[in-house]
Amino acid sequence: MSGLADDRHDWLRAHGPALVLCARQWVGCYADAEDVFQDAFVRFWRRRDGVRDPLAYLYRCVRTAAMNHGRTRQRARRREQEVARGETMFVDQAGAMAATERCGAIQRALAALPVEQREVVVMKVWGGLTFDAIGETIEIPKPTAYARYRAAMSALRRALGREVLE
Amino acid sequence: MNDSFDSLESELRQVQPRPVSERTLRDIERRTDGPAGVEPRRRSRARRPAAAWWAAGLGGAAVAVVLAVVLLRHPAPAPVSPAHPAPAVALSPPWRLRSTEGARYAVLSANRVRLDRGELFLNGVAEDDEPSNSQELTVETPDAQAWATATAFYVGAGPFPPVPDTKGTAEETLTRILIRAGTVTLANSSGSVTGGANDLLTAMPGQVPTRRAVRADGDVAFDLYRQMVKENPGANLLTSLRDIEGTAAQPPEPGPKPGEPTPAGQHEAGQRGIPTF
Repeated sequence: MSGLADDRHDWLRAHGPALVLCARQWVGCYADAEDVFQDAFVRFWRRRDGVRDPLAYLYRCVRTAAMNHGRTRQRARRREQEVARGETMFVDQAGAMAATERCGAIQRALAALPVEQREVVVMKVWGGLTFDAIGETIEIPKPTAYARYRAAMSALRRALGREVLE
Repeated sequence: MNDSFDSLESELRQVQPRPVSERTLRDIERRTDGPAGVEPRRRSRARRPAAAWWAAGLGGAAVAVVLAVVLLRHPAPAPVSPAHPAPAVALSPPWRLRSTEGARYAVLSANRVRLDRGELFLNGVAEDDEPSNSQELTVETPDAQAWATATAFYVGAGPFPPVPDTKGTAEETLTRILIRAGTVTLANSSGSVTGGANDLLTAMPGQVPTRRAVRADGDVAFDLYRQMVKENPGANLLTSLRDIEGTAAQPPEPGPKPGEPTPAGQHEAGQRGIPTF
């Protein structure tokens, strides 16, 4: 694994943001995403013995928890409210909270994708998972994972080409 | 497989997901067993060894308690210097020291002596009778501490009575000082007393030190004193410090046996090394 297998603090710092972003694809706001991440990480940390790929297993825990979390009607209403507030999901490289055009464009482009594609992009781009790991996490074949990724990236290129890349 | 999207991936990585809030990190660390660095996996595996450590610790504590009880009942003698060989540390001049046979004492420094049992004669009077040249000398005993400057005095310490009687009377310790010249202060945790020439100072644990005057040689119950008297039958040691000096230079002899009258006085208690109060 990533060499961080025995340090919880490093685990949190290295993978926490991408995992919350992954959870955020399924829940309505970052606060809920952090709650989901917290529950999932605690569960993962207690069960990670014997896991073949701990990072993939952690993403799987987060994804499952996020999907379960987003199913309630009350949370769905809350999600709508949060989205309406224009919550930011990214920060620029300098660490400032994203109000930049680039962050906004990426967030909008990502939000336009189907959730199945969004999560693959998040896991691949910001989570650093391989397609094998993504397939294991989502429980889909590796070619399917790649197909979703390719479709998502094509859509993002089109969207961002209009807003940022040009 | 995804080479055609490398540039787009790099573009996307120009932004990063917002970091996890500190509150969430703290909650996670708390829920996964407190501060970072203590992993639950290791904790769960360490529980069994921890229980074993607790058992071992309790066992060790029990052994320590038993040892402490044994040592308290049979205390090991304190390491002290032999009685007559010259101490490794010399006293600051003009202080000179003489001890009874079997005395347990140690010269801790040039102006500090520890006496655990037996008697010492300490003379800090200069040969030229210049008391101001003498440094203060401290004598520690199990019961008290004495300070003297330009002084000659006997100091005794040890069990009281020195030989337990057949009735099994509880044994106590006593520090006693017979001052021959100058002044000595004797103190313990209960108080202090200062005496001059021919005063007898005593200190017992838990009691304020006392002082009383000694009026005759037979009034003194120091083995070392009686020994010096025996060595100089005609001298009045209470008034002749020079005579004491002369006898102190001679090697000591065994003290009188129980029941044997001493030259200076026939005190039953004195034969056992107990002051006659």
